[in-house]
Amino acid sequence: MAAYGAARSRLGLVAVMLGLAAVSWWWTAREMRGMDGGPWTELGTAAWFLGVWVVMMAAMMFASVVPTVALYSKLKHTRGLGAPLAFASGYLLVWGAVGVPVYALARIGGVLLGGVLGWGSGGRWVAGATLLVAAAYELTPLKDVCLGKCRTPLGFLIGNWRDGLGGAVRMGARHGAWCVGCCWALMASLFALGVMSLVWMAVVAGLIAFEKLIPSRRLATYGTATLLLALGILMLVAPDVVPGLTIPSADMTEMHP
Amino acid sequence: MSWSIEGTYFETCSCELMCPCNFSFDHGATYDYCRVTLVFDIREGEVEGTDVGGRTLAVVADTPKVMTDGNWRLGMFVDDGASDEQVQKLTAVFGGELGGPMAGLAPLIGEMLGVERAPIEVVEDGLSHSVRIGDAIDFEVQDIVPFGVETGEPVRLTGVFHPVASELTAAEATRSKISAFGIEYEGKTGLSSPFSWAA
Repeated sequence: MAAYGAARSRLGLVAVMLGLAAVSWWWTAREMRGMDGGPWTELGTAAWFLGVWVVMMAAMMFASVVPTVALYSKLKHTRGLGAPLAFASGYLLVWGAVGVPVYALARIGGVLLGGVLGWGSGGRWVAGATLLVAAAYELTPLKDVCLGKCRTPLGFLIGNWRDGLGGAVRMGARHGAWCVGCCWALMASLFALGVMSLVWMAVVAGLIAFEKLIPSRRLATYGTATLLLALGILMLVAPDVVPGLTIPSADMTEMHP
Repeated sequence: MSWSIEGTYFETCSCELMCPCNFSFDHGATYDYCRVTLVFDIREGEVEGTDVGGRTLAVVADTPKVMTDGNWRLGMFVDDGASDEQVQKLTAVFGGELGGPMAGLAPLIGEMLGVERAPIEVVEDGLSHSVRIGDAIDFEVQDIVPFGVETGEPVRLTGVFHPVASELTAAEATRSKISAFGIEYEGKTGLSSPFSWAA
């Protein structure tokens, strides 16, 4: 793949991006210490959540998007970091913006559904269903189109080429939009599994990298779908055997006054 | 007096007219590079629901001597009458993002020099094809009608491995000034053809 070759020729850029991802993991881990309440964890205040969300997206996504950014840098024939990082920030901007509707949805859901999302009432079933929907989404044509743009970014980059730093941000944002189309269901799964859990963050980030970077596309799609399906079924029938899953305790019926 | 002979024939000669790369991508250009300007004057067309009829697009490329070595440097012009949406759709087609002939060339591209909007004026007049793109490009090619062909039909090449078509008309430049995206050269040989792409 062209993108891998590009990454090898841009080791400085790769190191910077992975360094940013590492710092983001560290910072996220610090912010989320003791916050994991399992499925449908309370999101905290809007300002706190959106701040953490952006950093979290950098942590989870930068490793996967590194080959694309490196390929962009190579096509631009630059050794500098300015334009590639502008591209990456456009990408992060879109994922960051996704945090707004996510937070709004969580709040509105909390108000309208109240205790229904509590583990004991409906939360477990909604979590299971979310994972099953995510598994099914893996097999849809829309997922296929979006994943194609992420896996072979050369056509995307040439076909969306825009000059200058502003152009870099726009190209990154556009790539980010395809990425959201590709990964929204996986992100929804993260909420179903526990958004404040570093373990599940790492699992979902790993799945995203797996989908984007492994050579076999069929394995990427069916492997991810199978894992989501298994997690969804376990969540419904035997949540206590899911390793690493925090089962919300009765006194943590968040969303209740 | 009547007679007949038949068999096979071949020849070689010392001239240069056609681009060796047109005969085969891996043949090696006349000089240490092949620099080329491809002009597409779109009469009618639609890309994902967007009408792109009347738009003109030009690709300027600088390739190594052997084109299949890759590392092409490439810039694109879209005519300044195009809307943002038309530019988006056309660059997607010509960058190979939406499949079609250019998707096969994309892996050979090593550097993007830019996408610019500029006034583009194309004049098609019988055997003559000319284009003027801002202050950067001004050239004309003329289809070659062989000496003695009374119908006026120009020479056709068939079986060509070319993104535009497999059958094209041989042409030569009658006027050339090309300096765009840092690529400068004098156009000498040429091709022309109607095109019809879909994917």
